[in-house]
Amino acid sequence: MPRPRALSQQALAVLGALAADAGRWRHGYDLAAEVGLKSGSLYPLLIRLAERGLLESGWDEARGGKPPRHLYRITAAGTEQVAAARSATTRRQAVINAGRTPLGRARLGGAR
Amino acid sequence: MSTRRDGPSVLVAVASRLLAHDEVDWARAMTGELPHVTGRLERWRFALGCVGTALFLPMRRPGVVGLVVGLAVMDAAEVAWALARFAGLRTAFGTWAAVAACAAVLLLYVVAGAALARRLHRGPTEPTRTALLGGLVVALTWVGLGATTSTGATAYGGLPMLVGFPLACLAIGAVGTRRGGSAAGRRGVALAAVVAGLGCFLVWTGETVAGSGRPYDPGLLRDFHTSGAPDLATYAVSDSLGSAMMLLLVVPMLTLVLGLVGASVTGAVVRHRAA
Repeated sequence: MPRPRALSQQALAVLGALAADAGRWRHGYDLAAEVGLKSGSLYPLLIRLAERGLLESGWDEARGGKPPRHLYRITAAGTEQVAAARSATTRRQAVINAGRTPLGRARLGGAR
Repeated sequence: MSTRRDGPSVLVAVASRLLAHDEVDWARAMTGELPHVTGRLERWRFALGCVGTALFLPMRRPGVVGLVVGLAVMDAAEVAWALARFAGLRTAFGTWAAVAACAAVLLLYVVAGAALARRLHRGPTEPTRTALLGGLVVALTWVGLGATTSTGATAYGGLPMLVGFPLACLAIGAVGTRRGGSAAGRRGVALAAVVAGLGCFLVWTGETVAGSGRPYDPGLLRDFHTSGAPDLATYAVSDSLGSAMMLLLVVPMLTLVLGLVGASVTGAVVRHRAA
């Protein structure tokens, strides 16, 4: 089975925005505005994230003669992905910070 | 924030139509979001993004779109090569209008090819394969026909190509319909027509520019003196590029008509047998 591809920074930004309030349903355009995405990037991302089960979608009610809006919410798998990505970023940052001190450099050298 | 029919709403409706049937939720999502996008410029940007999404992402078979885009880009590059190599073309009457028309046709074929690939990509692979292979065969028959006439071969020299072209078109429609049904068969024919036109233009234009429009037949030599062109090569290339432009329109049209005949006849036979 092929390994799923790592998520892009934009995908992580969308998931991060959804994870900030995990139970809340969000509209696509509001999400795009929050993370600074254009519609040409937003929908391909949402489609991929939904296909990977990292977010779920639903429908808002039609109001004032306007068509119903699509809603998005992060899933448990999506929350795990965000947590894993944040943890990896923290670890990388720790290694970078350690490399800035003599003791840290010695430790990193010893680890090799 | 109204549901008025303006340019952006028409574009989003087009984007929705381009999406495959099982992507209808995403089409509705785009349509539902547009009334909440404020500002004229922002609405246009949103709508154009939706069209881009519908055409290019995400594809299960991006190779089909890649082939169509690749052919169109190479076609455009060859026209640019001709303009760079033959300075007289750049100042000739009507050149830039012809270049603009050519660019518009290439863009139309890219959009049509991408839309057809998207519609075909969730179905069985056979109609798509048949369309791509058939399109290339059709292009080759036209190139072969051009080669036999330009080398002064006998009238019978081009006969296999003349017979091969309609047979290939009919086969594309028939095979696509048998393997994927009527709708997939028709879309396969249209995709083959696009590939055939782009492929034919590519070979014809490449040969023209590389060979400076040779061979120079007596008719060309006669007309050159009254053409006002700076040199024979420029006149021959200009003349041949005009023919390539005609082929870019005629080959897809003929392929489409004959292919649809093949698809319709096969569809009728399949329905008759089922009944």
